[in-house]
Amino acid sequence: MNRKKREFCTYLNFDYRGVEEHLAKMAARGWRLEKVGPWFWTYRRAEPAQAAYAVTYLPSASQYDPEPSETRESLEELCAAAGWEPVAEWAQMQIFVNERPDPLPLETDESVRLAAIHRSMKKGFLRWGAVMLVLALVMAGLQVKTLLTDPFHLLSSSSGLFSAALWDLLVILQTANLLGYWRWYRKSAQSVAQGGPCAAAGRGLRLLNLIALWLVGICLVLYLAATAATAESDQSVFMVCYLALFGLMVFLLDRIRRALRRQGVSRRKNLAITLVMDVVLSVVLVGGLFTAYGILRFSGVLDGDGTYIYEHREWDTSPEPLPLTLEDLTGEAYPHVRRNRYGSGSFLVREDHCWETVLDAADDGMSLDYTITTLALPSLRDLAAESILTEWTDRGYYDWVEADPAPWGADAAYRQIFDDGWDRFLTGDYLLCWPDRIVEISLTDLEPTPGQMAVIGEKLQNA
Amino acid sequence: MAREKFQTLTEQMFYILLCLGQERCGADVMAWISETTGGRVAVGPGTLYNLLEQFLQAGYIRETKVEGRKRSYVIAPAGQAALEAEVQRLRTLTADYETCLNEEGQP
Repeated sequence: MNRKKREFCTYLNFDYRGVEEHLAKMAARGWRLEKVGPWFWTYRRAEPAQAAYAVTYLPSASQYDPEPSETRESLEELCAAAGWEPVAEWAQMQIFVNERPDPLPLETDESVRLAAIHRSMKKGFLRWGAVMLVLALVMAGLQVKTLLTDPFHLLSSSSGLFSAALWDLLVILQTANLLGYWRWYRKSAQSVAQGGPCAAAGRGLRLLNLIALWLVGICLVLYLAATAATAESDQSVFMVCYLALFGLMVFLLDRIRRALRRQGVSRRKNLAITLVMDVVLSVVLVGGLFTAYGILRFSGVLDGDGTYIYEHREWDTSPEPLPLTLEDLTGEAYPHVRRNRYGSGSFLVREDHCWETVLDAADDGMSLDYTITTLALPSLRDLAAESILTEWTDRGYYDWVEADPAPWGADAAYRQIFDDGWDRFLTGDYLLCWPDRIVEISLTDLEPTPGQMAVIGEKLQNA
Repeated sequence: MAREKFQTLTEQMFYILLCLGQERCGADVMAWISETTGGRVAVGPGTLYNLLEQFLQAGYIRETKVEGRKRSYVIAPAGQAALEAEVQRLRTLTADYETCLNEEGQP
């Protein structure tokens, strides 16, 4: 039988009544609260008992205070006289338990309770809630700007869509939490003024927080699935490692903060050291992960097959297959080949980037470079084409001119043109469009014949 | 809206200030109030802690000694004045009640 149990806490900081009732229920089921962590509350197995739990607030308390803190000790001294034993603390919230029958309540004046809660909330919940709301509004605003100016860029990026969903959720959640608190505070103040108790926090906000948490989880799974489907598998592993390291960092920071408290370090020093460690751990863990990934990627370990050097350049021992190769176009088998392929995109748009360079028997080089953009919805084609065409013209001297799509077997075709006022010539870059696919291909070393155009169109349309 | 701070004293505030006419620690305050009022007024430890903090900040009481976790307090002149003002207010209420009763025979 498990002796410990962890539970994700979804109670809001001001919902003292919800916490009290929940802990009493858990005690009746044989689970006693032992510790409040950054994300989880830890319970230990005990004999089921009818225990009264009560919550009070210490507005002056901080989770960075040295242990034992003077304020908490003074409170505990008073509580002990009435049979209340300390259980745990959660920011300014102090949790006590009493197993005496019909104990003296911890709080006997609702106006004093409400004032203490409000001062505590102003110090933590409201302040950080407001900061997070402003941050989320700025980030969501930037996402909206991207959506209006370059929607295809946002739709074709899993991380862009994921972060947009997260910021939007945070805006909704923080707005609801702050408005929910003010509503609760007003109702409580009215009730207390008429001699009644503080209002119940209700289940609505808690439910909303729970739903938001599930949505974040679903978005995260979708994001990882989209990354796995569109990018290389090592990128998905990288993202999982990144998230695991983020969790580890939060865990370690909590341990450091608690250790400093036990050492009796002052609040200010604890805060400063924890902040410094936050930066150090971010650099060491996340920076270390990026460095390790970069080294593995550039060393070729992740590429699988080996390479060799010829004519001072690196070539593949066993080149990976590509949807279209120079050999397909020229019919010539090349002795030295170097290929690269990587994916990106989202569940709406998948981008496959392929690149090949070869040396023929006379050591003359050629290269081929193309990106296949596959669209989940045909309605995205105009948006995608416009984005790609505009992206190039934005860079300066390049523009696209319409070309005959028939030789390619495409619906529409464009060819890039260079014009800087003095020189004007067609480049080897083409854009080929089908209902659910766009191909951007660079044929810098080859002026394609109608036969080669047909091969390109057939292979890349069906790749 | 919530009561204006210390504009009038609640029963619990009144008895805390009253019992701190003599130096007492928090636990003694709770016991004294319960005993004096025959259990009619009870001050919970959370409420007492917050009220003592507020009284200290307002200068109504002062801390006299700290023995381990036990802290003792005594009423300060500002607290004494507040207590007397409250008593005066209650006397006025009582007087108004009696006047009303004598003149109009109500309530």
